Amino acid sequence: MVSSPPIPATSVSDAVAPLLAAPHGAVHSVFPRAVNLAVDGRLLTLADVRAGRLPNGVALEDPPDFRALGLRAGDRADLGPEEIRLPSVGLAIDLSRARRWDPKLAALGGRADPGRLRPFASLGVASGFGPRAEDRWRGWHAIDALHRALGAGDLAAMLGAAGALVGRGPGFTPSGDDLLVGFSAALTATGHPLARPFARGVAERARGATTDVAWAYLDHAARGEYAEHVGAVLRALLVGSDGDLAIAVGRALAWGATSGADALTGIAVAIGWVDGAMLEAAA
Amino acid sequence: MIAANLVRSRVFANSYRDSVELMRIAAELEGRGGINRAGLVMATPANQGVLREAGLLDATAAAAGPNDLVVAVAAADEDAADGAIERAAALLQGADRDGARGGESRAFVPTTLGEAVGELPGANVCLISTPGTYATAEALKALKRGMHVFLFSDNVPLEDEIELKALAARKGLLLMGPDCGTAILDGVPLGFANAVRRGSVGLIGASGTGMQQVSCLVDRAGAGISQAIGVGGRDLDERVGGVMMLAALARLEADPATKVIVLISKPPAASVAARVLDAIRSIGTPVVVNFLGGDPAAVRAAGATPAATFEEAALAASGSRAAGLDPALVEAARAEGARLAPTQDAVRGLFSGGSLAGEAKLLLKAAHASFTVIDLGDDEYTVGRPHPMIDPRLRSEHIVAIGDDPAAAVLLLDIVLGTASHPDPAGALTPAIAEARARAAAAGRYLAVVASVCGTAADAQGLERQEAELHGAGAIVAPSNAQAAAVAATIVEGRRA
Amino acid sequence: MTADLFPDGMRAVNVGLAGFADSLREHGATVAPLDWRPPAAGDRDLGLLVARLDDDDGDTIGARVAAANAQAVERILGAQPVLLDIRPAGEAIPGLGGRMLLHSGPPIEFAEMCGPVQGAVVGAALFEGWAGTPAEAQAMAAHGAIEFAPCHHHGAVGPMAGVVSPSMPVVEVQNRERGNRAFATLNEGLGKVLRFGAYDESVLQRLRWIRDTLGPALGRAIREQGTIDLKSITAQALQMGDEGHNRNVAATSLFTRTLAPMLVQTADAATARDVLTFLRGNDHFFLNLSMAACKSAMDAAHGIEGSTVVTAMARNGVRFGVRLSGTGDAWFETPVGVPDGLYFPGFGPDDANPDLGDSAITETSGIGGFAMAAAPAIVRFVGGTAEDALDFTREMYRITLARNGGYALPPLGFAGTPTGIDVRRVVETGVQPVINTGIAHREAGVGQIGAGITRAPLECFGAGLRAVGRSLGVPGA
Repeated sequence: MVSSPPIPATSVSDAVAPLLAAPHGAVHSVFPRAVNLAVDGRLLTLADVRAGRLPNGVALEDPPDFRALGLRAGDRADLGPEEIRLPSVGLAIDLSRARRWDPKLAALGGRADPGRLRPFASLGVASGFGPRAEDRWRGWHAIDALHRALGAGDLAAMLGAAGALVGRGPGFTPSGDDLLVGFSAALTATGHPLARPFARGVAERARGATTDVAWAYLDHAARGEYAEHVGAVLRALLVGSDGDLAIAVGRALAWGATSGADALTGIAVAIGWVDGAMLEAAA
Repeated sequence: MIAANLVRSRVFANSYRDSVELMRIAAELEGRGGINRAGLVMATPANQGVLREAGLLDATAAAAGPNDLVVAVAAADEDAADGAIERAAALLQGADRDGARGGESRAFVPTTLGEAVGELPGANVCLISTPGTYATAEALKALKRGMHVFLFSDNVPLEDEIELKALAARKGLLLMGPDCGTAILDGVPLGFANAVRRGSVGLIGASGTGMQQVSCLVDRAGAGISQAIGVGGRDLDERVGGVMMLAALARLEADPATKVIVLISKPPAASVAARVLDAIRSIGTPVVVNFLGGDPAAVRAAGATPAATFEEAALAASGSRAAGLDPALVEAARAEGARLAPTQDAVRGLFSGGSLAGEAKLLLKAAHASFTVIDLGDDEYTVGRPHPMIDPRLRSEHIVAIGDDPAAAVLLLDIVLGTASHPDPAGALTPAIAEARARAAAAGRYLAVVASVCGTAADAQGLERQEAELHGAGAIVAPSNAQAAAVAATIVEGRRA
Repeated sequence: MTADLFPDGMRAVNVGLAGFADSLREHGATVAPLDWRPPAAGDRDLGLLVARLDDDDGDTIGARVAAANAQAVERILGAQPVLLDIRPAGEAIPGLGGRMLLHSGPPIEFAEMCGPVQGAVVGAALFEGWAGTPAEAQAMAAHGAIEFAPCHHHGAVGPMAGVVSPSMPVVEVQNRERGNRAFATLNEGLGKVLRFGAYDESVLQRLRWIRDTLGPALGRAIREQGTIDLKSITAQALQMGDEGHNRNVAATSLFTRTLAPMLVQTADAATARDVLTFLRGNDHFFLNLSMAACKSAMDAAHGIEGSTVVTAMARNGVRFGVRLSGTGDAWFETPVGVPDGLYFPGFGPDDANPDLGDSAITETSGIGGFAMAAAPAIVRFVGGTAEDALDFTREMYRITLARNGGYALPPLGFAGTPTGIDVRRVVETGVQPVINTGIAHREAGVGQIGAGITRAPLECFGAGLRAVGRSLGVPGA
């Protein structure tokens, strides 16, 4: 029996809709406004719709503070096409009015002007991995290598550089993985021929080498599936106005504590904004 | 730079924190004396490499997996290292509790009922103990939000009580009160209540300490309480009409866990009594009724079992028979009586519980004893002063004064344990008892003391410990309020000034 | 197997004696944190009225209020203000004609008006040519030859004195969502200006220039452009350090940049240069547009019976007035005081005029002081820290019904602005709406002498709540 009214879900990602057929799952990790459920070896995320839709997400309208409710890793989740229930805290999520959302990023083609991200440098784009210079430099060599490999069109070298970034950095989605998600997204959106092989290669290398949550995003990237905020930034960069870009960057920066900034760094690297000035700005 | 000889780490599984939190904790650790470097990262191979390069990787951290959080420190000595790691553990745990409200005030503390409910979705019960002036508005807000209400406040206007109970009835919610001191819901004590066993006796009462006494005696008899629902002191008045008692009866009738229901109250208004007895007649669950001083015939006619005392009610509900006064107690009482001086012929009752005082009065009157009984919890004594169940000082003063009362033969006391009560009520009174007896002795009199303890072994104060204290002060300790009154009456039996 | 009253556990709120909560927790119940204090500052009847008006879908009154508020909030959040045109007030504003002047705040007679407003009235009369000298203008106004009405009653809003006369060009803003329109004059800039009560020749010259050059040039450009989306400019500006009341430079820049090419195209070179120069020097130009946009949103939410949402907060330099959606034309007023703040060198509280202007319409709609988190620099005016700016916005969440996701605040994790002030919550918590405001000199014509943060007075909200209660037939209202 449920003690609070069901929480309405506003959207379900196409990529995880099939998981709703599995009768049970378990809570993997709990955050104030989001919960990851482990279902059939994949991760399904219940998150506040205001944070933007996720490739593995069920977006919720006005969710409670899951941590404060006492939801714990390991608690059972009951799934169904109409409802998800978390019996340990008496919570139900009502899927009956949720719309389906396709997380596949469209290849818009074209070229993005790298200078358009420059105004946002002070907000944390290209801030790298951590407040101390030596942290950043350890990451920057790999980033620099990635950028040069991309310029040379050398997939093997790109994957080598990516390998040094997988699982690297603070946070439960390490910064390096967030950067690689942004990087892959940018390649996909600009229609780069290496986009899919790169993303697949990264996902393979990342298996077991990073956290479950980070790997889930890399896995989706390998299928061309990305979070809404990443797509919005790329759309604004390629076909949108400065105002659109400002708003999209703002929303992306709100993602996680540094995950958004790290993803934006990845986008910046992919569209060619890596130069001495950026390295200096980050130092 | 501090010479860092020692690397220590700890692994936390299932601990997902964002990078800013982790870096902040790391920064704090590095600010501690004796700590050279600190790192908090997920133990992915890449990060283990970073830790190794920073000289922070030990065997523990090396053995961790990508979903483990590692806290690693390089320190000057063991104490510094252990202290830092404990600090990190505490901060990580604290972050759990605060639930990092991202985008909302970190310092926000609700100041209204609505805001509190906003912080606790699914709130299902509201306790209200504000001054009566504000209680109605709070109760309205709570009922509107679908919560059962425990309304401890008194001085709530009668019209408000009627309105609130009508709203509660429409919503299928309990409004326990006003002036409701005791309830036990799902085994959780509300207000002044005792830690009693869970079981199949359902209790509905308009008297707080009466409910406490019945529930404790049920527990003592080896049975337990399913729910104890207070209805407020005025529920059975004519104009309120027993609304809550009837609602509680229906609820307990439908409750599969409740096998017998006990009702306790002062005698209700005639129309209300009739309505309640009618309801009892039509339900299947056996009912025991104690309308203090009420007519047992009407109760029997309704198919319920009348009980003249709280103890009888508790025993009937628990399936035991009242055994009457323990012969040992009778003997002790007679012995006390033999030591009295000629002027001593009266029982002086000083009570903290109103219902217990009321019961004692009735029993002493029926026994034709000479007595005075004071309920120190009554309004006239509690204006500007805490209730005697919480603060024993006023009662102590009265006790001492009885030592100088030439007619006083027996000091009769109730000691009420449980939540919200004084942590050691018996111990708090024994000095006054000793002084009163000394004064009496100095004047050539013998002051007998009789007490009962309303409580259980599971109460924080401890039933046995409290009874032992009273024994130690020379009191005769009876197992119930009714028996204590009977013992007091026995002591002064045949003595009439 | 016991059938529990609370199968998923007891989740309790403890109102009153803190000790009761301890045993609850010891027995495994979850207890909400609560630092309770008597609602409505201890006024029992007002506190009870709040409770009777609280949402309750099982109760006629509670259900009506909930539904009415939901509708009001929907209208505010759904508003789509766009700038259509700039044209003379006498043409655009319904009901403005003859010898009539609009002013800021609730209704007030000339004799009662404070110094700056009387000065603005004189200036407007001179500008319109109704009088030849200040003394004549004064006499006209004092003897009833000029009709006065609040801007608010005519779909308009005015900063400071807020005096609008028929020849002044006004921006015409339309709320595309419901079609209603709102108006405001063009911001004159800082220094000696009409809205602070100045009326010397320099002021009149500038008013003429606005009438003959600025207004028509901008109007032509806007009509050619189509419409200008004010909501989008505001949303961007909030992420660039503006809050829409006291800091408007980002919005003014965005507006100028949006219109400049069309201005150059539709005006001759000299005019375009003069207009752009004027805009370059006037950091607060967008304020009047912001106010009109907010007015168009709040007007759409006004007039919903049973709604406790605040739809206007305005001051006339003598009284502070509040309007609620559910109480129609009524103003709930109380005497207004001098704002607390930082004074420019040479000035102090003794020189200050009591709070003045319709610009609190920005706070009413959730920006301005409510969005202070977007513009932490403002708190310098009261000696606060940047964190205080965030706390002001956080505090406003307690008295509003919704968050406007269209206006996201970066420093608060992109939470939306606090929108839909609920008079029930204001009265219950005692949290007064915060307003960022300029401080005028109390003598006409001296101008702005400081800026600060002020609070809407509680009395207005108590009176408003009682009026809503009476309108719904709540016993004892």
